[in-house]
Amino acid sequence: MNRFLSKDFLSGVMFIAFGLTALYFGNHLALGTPVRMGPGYVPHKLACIMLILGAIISLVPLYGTATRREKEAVWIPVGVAAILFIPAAHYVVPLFDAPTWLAAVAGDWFQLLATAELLSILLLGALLPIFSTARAAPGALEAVEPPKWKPITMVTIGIVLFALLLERTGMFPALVALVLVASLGGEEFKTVEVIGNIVVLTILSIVVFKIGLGMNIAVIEGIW
Amino acid sequence: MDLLNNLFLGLTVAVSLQNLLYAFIGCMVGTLIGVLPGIGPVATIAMLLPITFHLPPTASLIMLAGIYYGAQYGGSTTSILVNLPGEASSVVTCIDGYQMARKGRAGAALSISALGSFFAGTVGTLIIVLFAEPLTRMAQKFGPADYCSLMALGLVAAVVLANGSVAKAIAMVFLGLLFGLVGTDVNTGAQRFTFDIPELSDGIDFAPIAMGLFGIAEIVVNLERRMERTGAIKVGSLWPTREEIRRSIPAVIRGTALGAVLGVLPGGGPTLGAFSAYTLEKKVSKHPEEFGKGAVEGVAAPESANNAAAQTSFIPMLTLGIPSNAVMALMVGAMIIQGIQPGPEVMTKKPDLFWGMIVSMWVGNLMLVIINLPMIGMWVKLLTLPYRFLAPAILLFCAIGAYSLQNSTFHVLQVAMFGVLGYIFVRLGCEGAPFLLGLVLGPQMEEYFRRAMLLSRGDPMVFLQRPISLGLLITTALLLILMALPSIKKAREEAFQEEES
Repeated sequence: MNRFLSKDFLSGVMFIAFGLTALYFGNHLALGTPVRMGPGYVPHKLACIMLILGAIISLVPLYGTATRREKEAVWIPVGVAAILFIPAAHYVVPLFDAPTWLAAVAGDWFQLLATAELLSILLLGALLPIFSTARAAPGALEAVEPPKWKPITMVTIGIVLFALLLERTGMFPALVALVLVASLGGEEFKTVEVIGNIVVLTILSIVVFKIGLGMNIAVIEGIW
Repeated sequence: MDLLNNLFLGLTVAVSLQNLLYAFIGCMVGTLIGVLPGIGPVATIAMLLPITFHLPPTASLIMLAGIYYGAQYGGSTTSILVNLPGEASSVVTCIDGYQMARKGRAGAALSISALGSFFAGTVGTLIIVLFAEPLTRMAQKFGPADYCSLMALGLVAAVVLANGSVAKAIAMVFLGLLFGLVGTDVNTGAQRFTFDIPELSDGIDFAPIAMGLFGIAEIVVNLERRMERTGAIKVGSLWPTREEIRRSIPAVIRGTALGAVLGVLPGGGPTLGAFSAYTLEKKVSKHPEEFGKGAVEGVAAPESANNAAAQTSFIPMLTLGIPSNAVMALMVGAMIIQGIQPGPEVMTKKPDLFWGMIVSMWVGNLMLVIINLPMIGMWVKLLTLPYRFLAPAILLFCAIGAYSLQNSTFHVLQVAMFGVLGYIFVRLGCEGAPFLLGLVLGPQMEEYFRRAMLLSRGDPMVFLQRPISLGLLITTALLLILMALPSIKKAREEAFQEEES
């Protein structure tokens, strides 16, 4: 099993991705000061926490499965570089005429820590396959089960179709589309059963939503 | 005599025809989903959140509460009859309940579990009544810093209960907090992460997220693996023997006490209660060798415990506004949909809602005994309904429900999007519950944090200087340290493995 395909490593990557997205889209929000926080203060701190936590979650399983040779050849240099990077960047960057975003990153210990961790993940990702194999000992990590694409795709398509059809054609066609497509995602597909299901669900949703809750939706647009 | 007055007020609210009807609907739906494997109370309440928008506040909360404790009753039925836990909290009931059924004592096991649950539910309701007022009074003394620390404690405690990696659960809490920020900033009016979508400017809606993360993702996971069904067993006589009654009474009392205590703890709930009660019974029993072979205590104790815990887990939510598990987070969401800010003010500003809901829980428990025992045959038949009928129905209810929130198809698309995200979470082994708690508490927590920092002129030490806040933060830190200790870590992993198998 590839070490980079473990559940832990990939969820760390997911958290990092969310952190980076939040940093990027929250960039234009004013930070303010701790006394008078701007709209961007809390999002910014949360994004940094996401980056740091994500990096830790990714690094721990990688380190846990490292061999001794790897630790000496890759982990120690990368770790030392990451630790040195933080103070170096903090004190060196202000000496130059750096762009404002770079100066902002260098002035904030929080962001520096996140940056150092991200850099070390990238370095490790590049160096580990060179110095040893990317494979982990069997059973050392929990692998991501290969997803079955059919159910998740069909269910998602079904709901999106429902959303697109509902206001244009009314509830009945949207319902038929959703039930049909979603049933295709299951293991068995029996036409008679699906038709029966559609009939029962149509009656049920008309009774519950249109009559019971008095919702203002057309069953078939323009007719009822 | 304030208490009696309050209870009387609650009784008048709870026995009004409308509220009785919604309590009944809630209990029926709860029993139904408890019996049906593959759909739990979290997914169901998420699915029904938009519908509550059309109901009066008291009725909707009564109905949702009914679903929650109804599921505890229904879940035990399938555990005993077909060795299939309908709910996580009735997993332990399978061990001895199914063995009793194989010996022809299914009816007795069902009666004992229903009556034990009823006793536990009654005690749980009484505990809520006794603790609600003092706790609320205490909570009214809280300043912004204290509230912020209390929420931190609640969130960390939720992590203890998430299975799998603690680090991942903490990250999920923060991710939830981050999603909670979407919308217009209250203090400045700035748009945050709204991507110019008008529907997002009021904040990201809670119901579509819950439906996607729990409803859709659960359906997809169930569709992936084949759902196995075994033939149902004959129920037999419902009357337990004198010997069975004699042995279950102390077990019911111990289970109730343990469940009630564990339910109040932030992060606690029915599942934890049931597991601990079973372990306790095995330890104190004079015949530990009978456990696993149909010991009646092994049914009575966990069933009482899960119901007691289901009741008392309402306490932190009702008095402090802090949800202790995913279902309570959804209840907070339901209150917000109705325009009620959960917290200590609910009791003083809306006494009819508060006391009405509490009394209706007891009424609901009474209904459940009636629904479950004589009608057991009907529930057993439902077990044979294949999942391929159920899945499209749940999807459809989610889709229409999401649309009905604001008559906007954007919400339906949101359900699809969060369904995909929820599926990714499941595949990566990340728990949805901490995310949901973070999402619910996020906006309030930011508000309190900013207010506390403003009052202290930007000095974060305020969180350590106020005694209440300091105490809460120390508890939080202790919890985190405890979780890191090797022996506790091991015990925690073992507990969750047992739950999964």
